Amino acid sequence: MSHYGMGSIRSPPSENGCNGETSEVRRNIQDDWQRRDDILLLTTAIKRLVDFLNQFESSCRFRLSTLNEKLTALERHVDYLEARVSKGETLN
Amino acid sequence: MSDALSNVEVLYELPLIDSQPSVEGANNGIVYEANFDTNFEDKTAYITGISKYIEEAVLHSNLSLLLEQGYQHAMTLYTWRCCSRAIPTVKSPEQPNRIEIYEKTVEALQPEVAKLMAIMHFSMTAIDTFCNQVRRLCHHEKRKEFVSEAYLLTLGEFINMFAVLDELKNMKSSVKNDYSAYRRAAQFLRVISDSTALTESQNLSMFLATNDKIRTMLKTSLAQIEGYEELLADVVNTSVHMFENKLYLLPSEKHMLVKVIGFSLFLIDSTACNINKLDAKKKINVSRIDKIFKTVEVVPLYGDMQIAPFNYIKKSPNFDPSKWPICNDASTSSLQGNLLMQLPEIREEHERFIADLARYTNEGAIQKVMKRTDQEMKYLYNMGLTGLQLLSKWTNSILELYCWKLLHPADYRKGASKYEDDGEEYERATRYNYSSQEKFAMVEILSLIKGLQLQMNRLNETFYEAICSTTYIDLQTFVQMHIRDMIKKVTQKKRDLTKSILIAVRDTCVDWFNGVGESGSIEESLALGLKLNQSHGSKKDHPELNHIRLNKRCVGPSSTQLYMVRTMIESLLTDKSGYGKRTLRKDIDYNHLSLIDQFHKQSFFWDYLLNFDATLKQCGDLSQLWYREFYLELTMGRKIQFPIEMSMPWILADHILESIKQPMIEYVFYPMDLYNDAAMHALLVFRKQFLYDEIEAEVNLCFDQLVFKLSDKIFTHFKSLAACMLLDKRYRSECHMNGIKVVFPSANRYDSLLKQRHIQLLGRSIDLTFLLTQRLTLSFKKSLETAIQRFESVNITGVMELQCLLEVNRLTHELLSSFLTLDSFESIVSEVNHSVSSALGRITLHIFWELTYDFLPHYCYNGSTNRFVKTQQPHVNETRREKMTREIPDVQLYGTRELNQAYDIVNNLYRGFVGVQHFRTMTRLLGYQGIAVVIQEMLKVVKNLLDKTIREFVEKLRACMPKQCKLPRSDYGSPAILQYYLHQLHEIIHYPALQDVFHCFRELGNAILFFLMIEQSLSQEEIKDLLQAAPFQNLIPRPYAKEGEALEAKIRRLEAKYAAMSLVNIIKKLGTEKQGKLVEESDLLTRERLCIGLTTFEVMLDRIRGFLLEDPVWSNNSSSAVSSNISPLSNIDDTHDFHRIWSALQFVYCLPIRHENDMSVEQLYGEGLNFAGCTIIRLLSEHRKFETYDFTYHLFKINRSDQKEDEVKNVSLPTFTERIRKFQILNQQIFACLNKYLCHTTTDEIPVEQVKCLTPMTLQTIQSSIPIYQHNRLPGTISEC
Repeated sequence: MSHYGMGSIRSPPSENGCNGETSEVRRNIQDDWQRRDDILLLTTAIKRLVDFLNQFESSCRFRLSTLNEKLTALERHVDYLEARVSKGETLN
Repeated sequence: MSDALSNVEVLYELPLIDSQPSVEGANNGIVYEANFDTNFEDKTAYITGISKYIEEAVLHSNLSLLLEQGYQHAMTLYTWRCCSRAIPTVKSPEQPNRIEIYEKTVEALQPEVAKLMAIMHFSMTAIDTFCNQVRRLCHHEKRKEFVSEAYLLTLGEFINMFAVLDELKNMKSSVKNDYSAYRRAAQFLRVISDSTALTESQNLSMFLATNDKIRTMLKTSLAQIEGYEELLADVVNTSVHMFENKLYLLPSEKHMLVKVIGFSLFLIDSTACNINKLDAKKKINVSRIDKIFKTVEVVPLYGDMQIAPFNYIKKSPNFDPSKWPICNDASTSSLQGNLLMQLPEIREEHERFIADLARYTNEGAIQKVMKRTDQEMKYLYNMGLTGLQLLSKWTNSILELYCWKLLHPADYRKGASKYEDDGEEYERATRYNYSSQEKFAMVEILSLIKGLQLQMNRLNETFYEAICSTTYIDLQTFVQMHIRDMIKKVTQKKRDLTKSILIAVRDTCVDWFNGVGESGSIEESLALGLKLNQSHGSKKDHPELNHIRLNKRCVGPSSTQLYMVRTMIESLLTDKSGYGKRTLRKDIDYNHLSLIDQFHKQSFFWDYLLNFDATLKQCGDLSQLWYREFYLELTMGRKIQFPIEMSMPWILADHILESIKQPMIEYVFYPMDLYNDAAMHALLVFRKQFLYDEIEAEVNLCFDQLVFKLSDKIFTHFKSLAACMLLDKRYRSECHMNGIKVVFPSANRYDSLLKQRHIQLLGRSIDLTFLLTQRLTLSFKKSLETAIQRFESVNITGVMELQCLLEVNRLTHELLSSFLTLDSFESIVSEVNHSVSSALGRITLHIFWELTYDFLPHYCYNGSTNRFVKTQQPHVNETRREKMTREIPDVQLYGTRELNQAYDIVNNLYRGFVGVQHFRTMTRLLGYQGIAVVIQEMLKVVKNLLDKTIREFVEKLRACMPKQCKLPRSDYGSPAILQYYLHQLHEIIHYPALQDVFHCFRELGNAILFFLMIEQSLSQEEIKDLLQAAPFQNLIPRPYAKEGEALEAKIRRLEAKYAAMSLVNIIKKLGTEKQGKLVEESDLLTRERLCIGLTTFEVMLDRIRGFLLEDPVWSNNSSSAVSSNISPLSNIDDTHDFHRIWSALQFVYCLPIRHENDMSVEQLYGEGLNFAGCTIIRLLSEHRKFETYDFTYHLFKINRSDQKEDEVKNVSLPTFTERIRKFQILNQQIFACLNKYLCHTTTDEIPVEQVKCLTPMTLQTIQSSIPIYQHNRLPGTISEC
């Protein structure tokens, strides 16, 4: 034990049988592992959710854009046809 | 809970369609980042650790907080914009509102000044804290003790922070100006009244005004500490060690290490302490540092500020150039400034890594459910780490190049004229400073970074799982297995200190299987170990012992845990210990030592890897390429912001857009990603609204330009592609030989850009496809507009060019339509042609206009070439057209200049004449409707001619004609007859307006020829149509049948064979009833188009005949003669009939030209003239009379027989008769042609003149000479007899 006097190193109170406190700490650390594991599981799940939402967004945007394109094309076509058809009417 | 998790799992089952190629970095709408860094908040939980290191952790956490504050202040300084310039100044002391101005100044600047005050206070406290730490560690007792690497690094970071703050403070002159403005106002208003505040303010102005204040303060404070240089030397050595062993991950860390080395050496070196001596004492190693400084000649300091670390050394008092041979060698420069040299290596790294990654992702995609083994996890873990390191390295190479370029701006003196503008400092550093190759290299690396970042971001979850489980397994294996062995060993050796440290390490992070561990207490385990050891005796390996079951967890150690473990095992590894000469290393076996060392090295990266998201983002962060606060400050308020031409992101993006040869277009959005980075930085790090606003404004500007240029580029590409495709191959090579380099546009991946339906830019989603569609439609309209305008500015021959342009545009449209949903080409054309809501388009109108006002009066037809050419002597004035005034961009024609030239050559061939090609083109362009309109209008012209001008002329000429004009007997001889006619037709020959007469007839003839030509080309088109439609209409050509074969059966077999092509049947079978009906009708329409045998020309002739018959001028005599049954012989010498007048005219135009310079009739009017006359004659059914009674024919006949070659009144008989012969042939051809169209109608409508059988003179004559059925010629012959 004489070693410990030299530095500021205090011995961890593990060895000398003051088991109550130490085992408490150990148990806490052990529990901490478990808890962090659980937290990570949740985090991963949230990450997946976020991933999904991002993918969902881009997919939606893709589909909406396709739809928009079709609608615009149709609309323009209708406009065109209308203009063609109405030629007689406007002249009369 | 499990329900919720499984719900999340189920989300992956949902199919999400997004077939968009990725062309930009990872820009997700939602970003989720879990940060488990506790900054030692949970330190008390690990009291099982060595308390000394727990204490150190406390200090560490305090320092981290200070560091964070320091960087906040650095941001404040960096983003400082001058306020005082905006504040109105008090011009004279008498100014009435000066008090108000001062009050407002103080009010406005107060909060800003508070920040400055905070910076000053902070730098003082930070220096204090730092010096305290140094003092503590330099205590001669402490000096021998071990200081952890992490701690030294934090001290290094502090040094870095001081350096940054100092430089920023020096650079920002606006800070000083603002403060002095505030001080002036404050002094005037006496806001600062009490003495402490006054000294404070005095201190602050001193602090701001003195350059290098912080480093001087630091240096003086440090100088008071004994032995500080040794600690700093430790810091330097740690940094050198980390730099050399690549123990850094983030891009900024590498630079920080270099800066720390430089600045620390600067701090060490003083009059009291010489770095060269330290080198001699082996405290530091100058040559190693020398090497580092050469490889990293310049590092980013902050934002767009950079620093050459070697300059710190140069500035130090004891600088000795001979000690720094490499850095002083100016002949070689570091690789930093030469990106092109690095490029191949980077490419190779990328390829190798991506290939590996692809293998894993593919495997993952195939076997989704499969759980990965630990080895695979480990492999993925390594991949993740390598990926991050690569990203970091590449990012650094770009950042370093950028800094290098900032440090070495383009030289002014070389070609100063090149730089217009006032040669902004920043412009020289950015815009003119990169070669094209460098820009491409930058773009390429940029795209590699962003692309890889995106991929890794997608695989984020996989990587993270692998990282967590690998770290867990490694850590637990280390603490449960390796450490146990070590504990055993040291217990045997009775090294209690080492043992206690090892046990502390274990207890800090052990996670026993099932919570109980194999042994509750160490003693037990040790006992067990010993027992086993004894029982197995000499055997070294204990399978039972090594077989330790670990929990299956997927979580890494917490930040504090990791710190504790690493620090503690580092203390075992260090050479320096606080325990006399003996280090702890000696307590441990060599094998174990290497295990510990390995673990220590490996675990260095855990901190980064466990924060995978954040690290990934930082490794690819290139936001600093946009920031230019330093250079803005340099302009001293001349510029509020630099134009986009000087902005790096736009320079790169623009370079891609402007380049023709390099197929980099796919990368164009990667430079734009820099804006995303910059904006992210402005919002999340700098937290400055104005910076974000500026970025946003710039992006708005850039994006408009980008879309504009991009669509232009796409249009040009596809246009020239289409033009090249349509150009004849052999002709293209000929063009090549003649110096017109027509090349196919280089392949470029536009398709991936054309598929971009959602691009993320500054958090907004942009539908690029939509924007491009809009712009491209516009481009189409513009180029069609140009095509039509060009046509409108030239004569009728322009149809060829118009058609050519339309074809090129059509093909372009077709090519683009495979990517985009464009309006149909027809609709675009009809919109530009203004033919959507009116029957007449611009093309039709112009064709009609040109036909009527240019073609009819100015062109001469030549039957042998079947072409019209322009007359050499225009009879009426040239028509005026609108000239194309504006300059036409190449892209609106055929794409490129070379293509335009090539096509121009082709089109110019069609400029000189109007021929079959032109008519076919016209038919195509006009379409049925257009043709109908043009013909109708043309008929009006014809009617007008017949009713007015020609009619008048005919009447006048008729008056000039002699009452009677006989066909003189052949006995007179041809010269006499010629003389007779010359005399008889004297008035006609000398009729003054004869030219006008010919001109009118030519117009008429041209119109008729036009009808004929249109008819011909139309029927060709129709036949083509029908032939193409035939297979679908079940029209099968009759097969050849040999004798004995049944033709019927053969046909039936063929019909069965091609039944699948018969549209009508198929649609009837599969379509609705309505469709069936429709298809039947259209089938009928197609079939019957030609069956009726409608020909336009015939109808036209009919109409013209109608016009003629309506008017008595043309017909009354002849028809009355027929109807009243007066003998047709009664008026044979009468000159009232049109054919007589025409004979006279023919006589005139057959006369040979008198002077050589005169133009012949053919030259002036072409065959249109003859056509007009013949058509009228034929329609009036006078053609036989004409052929019989014609003066010239008669003369010709007689001359034939007597062969006289006299000259009568300057008219040479042979020339004359030769001309007559030619015209006779021509007339015969014309009649034949007209007959072809008229023959089958004449049978019904015009009563065939009765064949008159005259009483025979003698039987022989009838039998031998004349056939009995000579219609009209008979009387003539009789009269002659």
